[in-house]
Parts: sequence; C-alpha cells; structure tokens
Amino acid sequence: MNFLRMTIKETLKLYREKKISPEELLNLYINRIKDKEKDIDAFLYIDYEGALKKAKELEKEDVNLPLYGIIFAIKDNILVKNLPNTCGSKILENFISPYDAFVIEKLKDAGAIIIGKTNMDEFAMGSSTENSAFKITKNPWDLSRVPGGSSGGSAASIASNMVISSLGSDTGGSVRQPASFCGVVGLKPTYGTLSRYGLVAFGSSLDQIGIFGKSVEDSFYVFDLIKGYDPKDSTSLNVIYEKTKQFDGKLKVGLIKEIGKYKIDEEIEKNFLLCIDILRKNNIEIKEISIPTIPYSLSIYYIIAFSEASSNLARFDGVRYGLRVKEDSLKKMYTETRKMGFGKEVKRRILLGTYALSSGYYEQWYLKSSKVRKMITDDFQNAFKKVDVLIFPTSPFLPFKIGERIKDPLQMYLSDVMTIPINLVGIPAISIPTGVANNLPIGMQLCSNYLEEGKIYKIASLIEKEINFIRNLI
Amino acid sequence: MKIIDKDIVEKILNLSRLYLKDEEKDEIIPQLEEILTYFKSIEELDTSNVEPMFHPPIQKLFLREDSIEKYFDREVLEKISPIFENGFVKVPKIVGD
Repeated sequence: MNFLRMTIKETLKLYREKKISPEELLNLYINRIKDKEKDIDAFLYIDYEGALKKAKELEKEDVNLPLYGIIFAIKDNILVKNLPNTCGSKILENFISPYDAFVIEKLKDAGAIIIGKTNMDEFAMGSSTENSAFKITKNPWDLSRVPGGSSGGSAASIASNMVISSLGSDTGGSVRQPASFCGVVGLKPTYGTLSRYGLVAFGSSLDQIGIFGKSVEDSFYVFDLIKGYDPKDSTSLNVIYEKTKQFDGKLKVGLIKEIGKYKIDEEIEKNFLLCIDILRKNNIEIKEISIPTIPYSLSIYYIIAFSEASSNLARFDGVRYGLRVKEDSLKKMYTETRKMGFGKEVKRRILLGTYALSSGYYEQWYLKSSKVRKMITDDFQNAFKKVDVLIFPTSPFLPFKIGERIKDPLQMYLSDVMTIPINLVGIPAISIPTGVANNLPIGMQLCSNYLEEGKIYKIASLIEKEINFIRNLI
Repeated sequence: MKIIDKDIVEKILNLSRLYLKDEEKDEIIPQLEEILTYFKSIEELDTSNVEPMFHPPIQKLFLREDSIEKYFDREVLEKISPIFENGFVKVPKIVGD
C-alpha cells in the first residue's frame, strides 16, 4: 500500500480503521519531502516541528474530525499564524503572520496539519512561478519545465505527493493553470464563497482562494469545509451554505464558438474532443454557444488587475510592517523601500495600473475596461440561459520550459487567455487532468453560473471516472 | 503615435513611489508600449450605453457595524513593525521645524 498516493477520503478511512496514526503518516510525508523537495523547490518554508506537534495532539482528538491528520501546503500569500508570509517578495521577507486567515482557521478546526508555505510568483503576479524573489519551482513531470503559476508551489507539492491537498489563490487562473500543468485538480469557487480575510490582496474584485486536490471529490470536500460567510470580508457572500452535491438532473454542456478560433496545441485539441465524446456517450447534450466579447477578456483583465494591484500594493511603504529602507525623508523612505523590495514584474504592473487610473487616462483604460467587463458578464449570463456548464482547455499549450517566456511579459500574459474570463465574471470553475501528451499533463476546464458548483462537480466527476487519469506517475 | 513616453513614465514613477535607473527605463518603456498597444483593441467596442461593473454582481457590497473590536495586542504590532518606540510606529520627520 502506498500511503502517499492516497486521496483525502482514502486517508481518512485508514485513520478511522486505525491502520496508521497521524504521526506515522506525517513521518512518511516528511521523508518524501526530504527526498523530493531539493529537485522541485515547491516550498518557501517547511514547519516540520509545528506539523509534528499537531500530529501528536491529534492522537487525543476525535478521529472523525473532517480533516483529521490531512497534510496541507499553503500558498505563501495566505496567512498562517506564526509562520512566515513572504508572498514571494523581498518586501515581506521577514514578515511573520500575526493571525490565521479565515480559511486557515477552518482547516485547523477540522484537524488538518499544515506542513509549510509554498512558492509563488511575487504577489501572485505571473503564470510560471519564475517571478518568485527566492526560487524557481520545477514541474514534477519534467524538471526543466515550469509548474505554472502563480500558485506553482502548491500545485507541484501535491503532484509530487509531498502533501495530500493544498490551497492557492486564483486572480486570473493562478489555481487552475498550475493544476493543469501539474496534473492535479484545481477548484476556483464562486467569488465570495471563500473569505479573503488573511489573503494578501492583489486584484480584490478578482482574487479568490482555490483548492488543489488529488481528486474532484477531495477538492469539493475541502471547499465545503472552508467556505462560509465572514463579516471581515466585505465581499463575502451572505447566503445559506450547504454541502455541494452533484447536480441531480439533466445537464447541457456548451462549447464556446469564439474559443474555437484560438490557437491551441494539437494534442490539447485532440484531448478536448475526447472529453466531448465522453460527454456525448453519457447522453449529455452538447451545444455550441457564443460569447462574442470573450476575445477582449485578456486586455481588460490585465488593465483591471494592474489597476487594483497598484492600489492594493500601496500599503507596502515601509511604515507598519515588512521591509524598511532607512532614509531621512518620508518620500525617500517610501521610494527606496519599494525600489529594493519589489521585483521587476511587480513594478511593471504597478506602473501600468497607476497609469490606467491616473487623471487623463482613467476613462480610456480603467473605466472602459470596467464597461467591457459588464458586457462579458452579460454574454456569459446569456450563455447560461442555454447551457449549464461550459467546457474548454485550461491552457492553450503544454507546460513550457523554464526561461522560455519570462523575458517577454506579453507572451507570459497570453498564457492565461483561457482562465481569465472566469475571474472577470466571478463564476466557479475547475481544472481537471484529462490526459498526457509528450509525458506532460493536459487539463480541461469546466465552469457554471454563480453558486452552481454542483453542476461542474457532476460533469467533472463523470469525465474523471471515464478518463481514469493515472495520477501520481511521479 | 506612441502611447507611453518618458514624461509619462516619470509621472507614474513619482505617483507610485517607485524608482527606475535609466537603463531600466529604456528596457521597460518599449515593454509598456507593446502591452498597451495590445490592450488598445478594446477601443473598437462601443460601450456608450454600458454601465461599468467593478465587482461580480452576485451581492451588493456591505459595510459592517462601525463598532470597536479588538484585533491585535500592541506586542503583536511591535513585533511586525520595522521601528516601534513607546507604543508608536516611528517614521522619518514629516513636519518642518
């Protein structure tokens, strides 16, 4: 029996049958990390001591806790009390979290063991995890390739069986794209269902915490345990939260006409057609629909994300926390601190965002983009009148080589073309592994209307079962 | 016509409290130009009758009750602040003599 390949559900069963204790399992994972981490560089910080302490405490706890002894990795922009939280940036290099994020409190209460904080593009700005100020995470399937980003460390840690599940954040695809690149499941739920309290803000109207899992079931299981209304997040949804159930009834799946015109790798296209065949064979009606404004998503996403980032990152000024470069005037202190603390991509985005919001340019860039955002949202709403779930590839290409796109920012931005529209609208989406080409994983994306996670749960489970993706090849 | 020039970059550098060396400016200006040229395609859409959307329209934003709540002890703030003296965060002198 290989304990390290187990899903959450399988691991919980072992605990309940007393086949292994949390401490024993944790030690197996620690050995795995000691073996694999030197090649993969998924973590920025590993808390062996804290994890072992928690594992010991669990021996006295109720084995029926919903995440009893489940080992998690957390992206380094979600606060875990008393652990570092760098956001992959020099400006927060020595910052220790004074409190737990809302979702972390929920994980801890459910009995989870947090083993460490994972590498990411600085402030979640990037699609390859190459923008981290500290290290480059490698794709466990091929160490010369990127794991995707910005939550690359969280995706790689689970793909290489160093943890059972992990959390990331998804502003424009930062959970789904690395999930696709690493052959794991990545769920970005409806905006507002997972509190952003304790998540370092990048683009507040787009940011959403997401879950990486080894199975579709695992990711929805964790989602249900950490969701909920939180008065500390002004965008938290004040609704009645129920367990996500696979939708019971007939579903129509839509293909987006405009995406048919995108340049997509042949192997991914083939895999996409295979998934559609599977749906057809299962008597699911497939219908082509149109989202005419979708080709504008990429441009307006970046304008909006840059603008929100320039405002959100104004708080890193050297005054209350993080790096401070000592200077004798306040303005010089701000400027020197930000010059030393931020990396290239972060500066590029702050500059573009400041430009898009500044007097004389605001109407042309930010306001115009916000109007186009409304048009795209309306187009999606019209599509959901005709179909329940949309399916399309998570990434137009397979994981690329380290260094291949990093010098050309626009090329890097284009990596997110498939995932971005979801965040603009705020709807839920999942990426599931559906195949392998050239020894690299392929992911498909499913999305549905607001709070209709049960619909993507059903279709994702169906495809997962039929494809029987051989996870854990590594 | 160029969208971005050196004057605009100087202005936004100042607004955002950032600094770039001359060679960094020479590198970034063409990059910003290329990015914004790509983004400019949104101009072709007619948005004259469209209301802007700043947040996903699932629920109206709300404000919580303006009441006093305890978040952190002063020791916590002291621990995370770069310079903390006598219960205050210390910054360089702001007002003149």
